[in-house]
Amino acid sequence: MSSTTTEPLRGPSDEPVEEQRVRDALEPWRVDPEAFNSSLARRLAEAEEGSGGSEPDAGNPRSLSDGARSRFWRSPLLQRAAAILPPGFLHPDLLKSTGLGGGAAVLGKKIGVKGAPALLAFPAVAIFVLGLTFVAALRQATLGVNAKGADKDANTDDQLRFWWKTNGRAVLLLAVAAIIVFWGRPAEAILLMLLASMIALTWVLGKLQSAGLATRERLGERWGGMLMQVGIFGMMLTNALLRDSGSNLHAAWPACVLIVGGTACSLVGGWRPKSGGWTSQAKVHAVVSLGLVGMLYPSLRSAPTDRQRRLEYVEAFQGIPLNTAEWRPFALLSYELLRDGGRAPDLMRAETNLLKAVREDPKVSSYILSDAALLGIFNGEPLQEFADRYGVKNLLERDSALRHPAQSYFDIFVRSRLAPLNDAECDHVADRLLLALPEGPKFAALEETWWIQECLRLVGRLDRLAPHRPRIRDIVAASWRGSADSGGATPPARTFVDNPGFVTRRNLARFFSDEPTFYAVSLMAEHGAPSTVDLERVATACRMESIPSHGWFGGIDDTELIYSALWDRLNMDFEFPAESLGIRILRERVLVGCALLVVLCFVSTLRAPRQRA
Amino acid sequence: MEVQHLVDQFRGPLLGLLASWGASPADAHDLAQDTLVEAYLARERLRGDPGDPRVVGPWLRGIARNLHRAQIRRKGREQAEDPSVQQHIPADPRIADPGDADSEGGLSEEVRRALGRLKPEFATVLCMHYLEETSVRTVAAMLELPEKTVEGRLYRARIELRRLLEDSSAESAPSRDRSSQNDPSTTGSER
Repeated sequence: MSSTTTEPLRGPSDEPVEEQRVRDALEPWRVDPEAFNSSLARRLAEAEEGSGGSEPDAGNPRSLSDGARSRFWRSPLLQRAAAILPPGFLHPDLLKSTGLGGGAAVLGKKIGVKGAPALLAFPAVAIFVLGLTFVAALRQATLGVNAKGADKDANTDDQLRFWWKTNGRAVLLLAVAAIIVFWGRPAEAILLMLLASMIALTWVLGKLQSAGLATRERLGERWGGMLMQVGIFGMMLTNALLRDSGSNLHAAWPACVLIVGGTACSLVGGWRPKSGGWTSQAKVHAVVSLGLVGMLYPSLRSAPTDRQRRLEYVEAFQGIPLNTAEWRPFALLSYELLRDGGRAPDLMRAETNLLKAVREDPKVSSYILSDAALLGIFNGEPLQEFADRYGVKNLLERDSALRHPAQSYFDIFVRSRLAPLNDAECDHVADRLLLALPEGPKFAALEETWWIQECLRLVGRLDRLAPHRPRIRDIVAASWRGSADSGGATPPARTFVDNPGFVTRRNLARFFSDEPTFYAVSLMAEHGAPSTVDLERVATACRMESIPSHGWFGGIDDTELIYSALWDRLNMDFEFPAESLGIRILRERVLVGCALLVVLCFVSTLRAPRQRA
Repeated sequence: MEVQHLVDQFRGPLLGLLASWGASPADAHDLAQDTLVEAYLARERLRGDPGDPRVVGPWLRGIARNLHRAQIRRKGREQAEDPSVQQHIPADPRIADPGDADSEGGLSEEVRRALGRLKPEFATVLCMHYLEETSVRTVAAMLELPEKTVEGRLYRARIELRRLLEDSSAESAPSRDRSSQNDPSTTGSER
């Protein structure tokens, strides 16, 4: 590029301006290479002297150039971050040397609108410190002050006390604000806020990393500890969140993601390249994590319960002690298994024990007797003896409504077996049953209607219910909490509960408990669903409840089995559109949130520079 | 990564880059040194061949950009906290007025003003290339552009600069005519 002589400014406009004129214009920015180099060499020497070698020195801001260091210490971000960060994240000596000390002193004055990132990070920090405090308290209680490493622990405890002294009010305010803001709101909002807070915290830490204050070792240790704590102690929380969100996974999944993520952070932070091994804390984390995941492994594999498990449950049912709490789930499950067209369950064990108990104890609940009759357990028994012993009513003597159809089922069963009812008698019984059909919302309306239906089936008059279908649908709809007219006089128990909505437990179209749900679904399958009841949401609720989650280590209870049966029945009797991918992801938002948390911590650890030995 | 090689190769384009972003000569000097120091100290984090300008160039550009932004923010903050502190924040974000550093005044001053009005991509390549005669290859590597693109931009930038100079010359002609009547030394060629 040769320079040319200067020309007058005026000339042909398609000619480029002379190169030399551009060079002349840039002259003020031109430097003397030697002076520049010597100045640079001086800065480098200072920086390397500060870092103690040629390796980049994390953990020492003196490794920065004068200008950068000066900028860094003047940064309000550092001051605010240092004010709220819990013990252990930052190099204490460095903080001391900058006059920030515990840093918390500046919190009250300096955190304002300008400190938005630090302020946003505060909730996550507060939770972290809560965990640290809990662990410290646990350690003191179990190990005592004379344990190994007591000096270090005491120092941490002092720092924790100092943190709480200076930030306690802010935490209290935060807790009160969270309660006010999130009262009655979906728990997901809290998770979302925590994620935002974690993002802010990792951003703050990123800034500190770039200044060499936060090292990989410290972050790995801290994040590892925090995630492990959240994973272990937050199991109940994730369990509740999962059930609220309609997840298809066992609650052990988010816990395992947090535990494994915490271990990954510990291992990344605790790797010592020179010795080619991990720190003892990282090893402990790995062992604990392995053990926990091993224990939770059966839960991780658990899927929604299926017909086979229901079959196993009813066939293993002992039938004693004779109480309705044990018998109702057994009866409902057996009823579904008998009617769904699959292999009929073998109820011999329950039958043998029941008959034995009946002979020994004449005071057996009429509900249990009706259940047994419904399931065909009394075939071939001395029914006259039963009729005499239990005082079976003569159903034909009166015309009034059969007020207690659940107990009446056993009466009808015995009567019809002892002396088969003729058509007129069957009609008479049917008339009395239909008179008992509930009028509007009332306690146990679903249960009574269902038993009336079964009684009519027993006398071969199920078709008599056909004209009453709108009324049955009204009964179901009245039990549906979403309908406004179900309030007021409606007894709160045994009705559908809570408001309609889509995803949360609060908003799910979920019934009060498994029994009313069973009756409602069964009635809707026979007589059609009222327009006000969203069957998709009912199915979603059943699906959610059918996932084993009560037993952390793979256990299962009868409620889950009943919901599993209802899920199958709904899918058999009704058609539902397939769920979109978005909805499925939405269902797993707790797991996604936990995974994001882990990724944030892991990336933050991985990006941090190593501390020099 | 050798420091001397790094400095020799990138000092000029770094200074030019910072100048094109609006840094004053003093700030550009300081920021270029900060950039090189921080790059050297963090060299372990560089992924790729440290001898390849296509790897090192964009990395340095990123560090310089962050430092420059931080400086602007800091100056803004300091001014907001203490209005009495006068900071050099150029009105035009690209080419700063060098102030006293420019001893030539006159035509160079006009060219600098015109540089400030150029499109950023044109001003950047001009500053990076002409400040220390940095090769087109290095400029292209640092900006992550093909060499042909940089060559094309250099040429078009100079044409655009000519047009801007002509425009500004036409605007200032009446006042110059008036002043030339009072000052005989300015008659004849402009330089």
